Amino acid sequence: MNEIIRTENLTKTYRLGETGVKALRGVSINISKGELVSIIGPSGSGKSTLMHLLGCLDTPTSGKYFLEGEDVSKLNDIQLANIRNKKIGFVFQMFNLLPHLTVLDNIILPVVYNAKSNLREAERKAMKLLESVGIEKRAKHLPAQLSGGERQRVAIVRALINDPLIVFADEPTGNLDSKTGLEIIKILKELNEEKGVTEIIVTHDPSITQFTHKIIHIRDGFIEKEIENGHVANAEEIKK
Amino acid sequence: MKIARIIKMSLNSLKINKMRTFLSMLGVIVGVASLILITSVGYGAQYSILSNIQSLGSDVIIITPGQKTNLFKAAMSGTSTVLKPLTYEDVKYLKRKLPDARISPESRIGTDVKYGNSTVSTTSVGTNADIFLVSNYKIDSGRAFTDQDINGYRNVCILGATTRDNLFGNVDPVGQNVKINNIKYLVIGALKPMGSMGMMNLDDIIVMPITTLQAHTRVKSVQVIYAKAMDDMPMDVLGARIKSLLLVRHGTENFSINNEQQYIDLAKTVTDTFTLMLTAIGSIALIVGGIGIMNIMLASVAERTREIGIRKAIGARNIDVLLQFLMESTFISGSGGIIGIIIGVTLSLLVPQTFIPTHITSTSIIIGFSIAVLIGIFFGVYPARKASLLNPVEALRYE
Repeated sequence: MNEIIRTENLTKTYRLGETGVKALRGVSINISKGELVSIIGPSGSGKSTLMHLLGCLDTPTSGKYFLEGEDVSKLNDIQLANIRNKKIGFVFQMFNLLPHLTVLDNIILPVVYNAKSNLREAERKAMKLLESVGIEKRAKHLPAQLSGGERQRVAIVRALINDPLIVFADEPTGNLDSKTGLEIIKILKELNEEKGVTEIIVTHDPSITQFTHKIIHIRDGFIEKEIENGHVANAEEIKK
Repeated sequence: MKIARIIKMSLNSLKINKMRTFLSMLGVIVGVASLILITSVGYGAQYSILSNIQSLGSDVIIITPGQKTNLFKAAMSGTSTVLKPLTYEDVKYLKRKLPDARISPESRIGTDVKYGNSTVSTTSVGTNADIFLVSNYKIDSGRAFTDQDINGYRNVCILGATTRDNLFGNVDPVGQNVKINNIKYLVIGALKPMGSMGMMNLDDIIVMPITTLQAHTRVKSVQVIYAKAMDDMPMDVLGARIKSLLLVRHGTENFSINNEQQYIDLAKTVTDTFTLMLTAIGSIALIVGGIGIMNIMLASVAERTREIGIRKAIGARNIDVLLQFLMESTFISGSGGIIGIIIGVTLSLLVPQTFIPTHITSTSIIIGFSIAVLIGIFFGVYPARKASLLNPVEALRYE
């Protein structure tokens, strides 16, 4: 499999007043195309920081980050924004939909920030994706009119609209009840199995890791262990 | 990023909080409305002054009723309202005493002129035959006035170029009859075009004997007297002689003697004063308005930190966020400018013209709108820049 993410000794130190807080203390990982990876660790372990760095929302204090072979650790704000727009999709715990935009407008927002694309085409594609997650009738609704599970589906569709290289999901089930959470996991799992989308799920819920190929345990800014999952549960096994 | 989408998004954000949007517009509305109102009063005053002078030669003396110290007031209120007016008798007296000078009266009044089925509104100018020597009235076709026309109260008239074109088109007007207040006037000539002075079209007139004008209208006085020496008598000598002659007739100095340059200087002083007032009042109101917009935009940036984080996470560049917020502040100030213009123009039109003459120009409207837009950009840059420089990770964490 081709490698799409490689990091070498990534560190991140936040300045808090006089002292620096070392959120990451040297993380080296490899992720290949089509992989479904979970990053797990307790809160404060640095897993969110790692996701922010991998998602190009932030730059490392030191170390190198290669995305598709390109060193992105030294890119400027504009270049990072372009990478986030074209190569990365985010699914957040808080859904992070814009409350005043309709579902459809939320979904095509990444396309609006992409100068080369066609909005009409994007709208057609958005409708198709909404259909595939079963909420095409909600296209003209506002996020507040949707249930949590529906909102997270909208967020997943938004993450997919620009055909990203990787989808990052930060605690995607954190704000959902367990049944709805499983449905969301199932959608993410199917995307990986059927469309080959590379996905990185950040979570503190061990039950989610059973569906992923690779499980990265993070603690105190280090990789505690990295497990290749020998018995990946497939989407069909997720309880209805 | 698509510009149409940016505009749509900005409008959307403003619609969400209509009351706040309106309140932030208010300062700009007041600023632009006062700016429009003040300029229209300023131009109105200038117009009123300029309409009392024609484009004369620099060797022409202008005699107006009212004392010199009140020249400004006289010009502002229109000379016809001054208590002790000049009369046509004064003109005849001066002509008798100064046979070497050309002396010409002038009185003006708004008039509707009818020819066939068409009617035009213009200004009647009552004068005498000397006007062709003291002013730049030049006969284009037909003939000038004779003393017989003046002394005989004849119903004859000479058309300004604009009036001729409006009433007759390409037809030769000489020999035709026009009607003013159902009284027939014979057109004896037409003037060459003289162009415009300030905002006044010098050709939009109909000239007739002062005697005829006084006989048929409520104008009984002479609003201004022009005098010009025909030999090489210096202007100030002629002015001094006129002054002593009129002093004898009037008993007091209830008139003023000036030349054209003094009038133009006065008009300039008045305009400069108004420009200064305009700059002061308008800019204070607009700066206050701009600060209001900045305040609202800063609050809006703080309130929408998370939205900014989301937009950045999905690929908005700093410039995209900057443009969105800048567009919002510019839209607020631009709309405020348009509303201000509407209010300012309405107020200018509502002011009674006899009380304060107002004159609205397209220049003041364009300047008013441009300043409003610039205020939005100027005071919007800081909040917009603040929004655009937010760190996406921190912005996303914001509750």
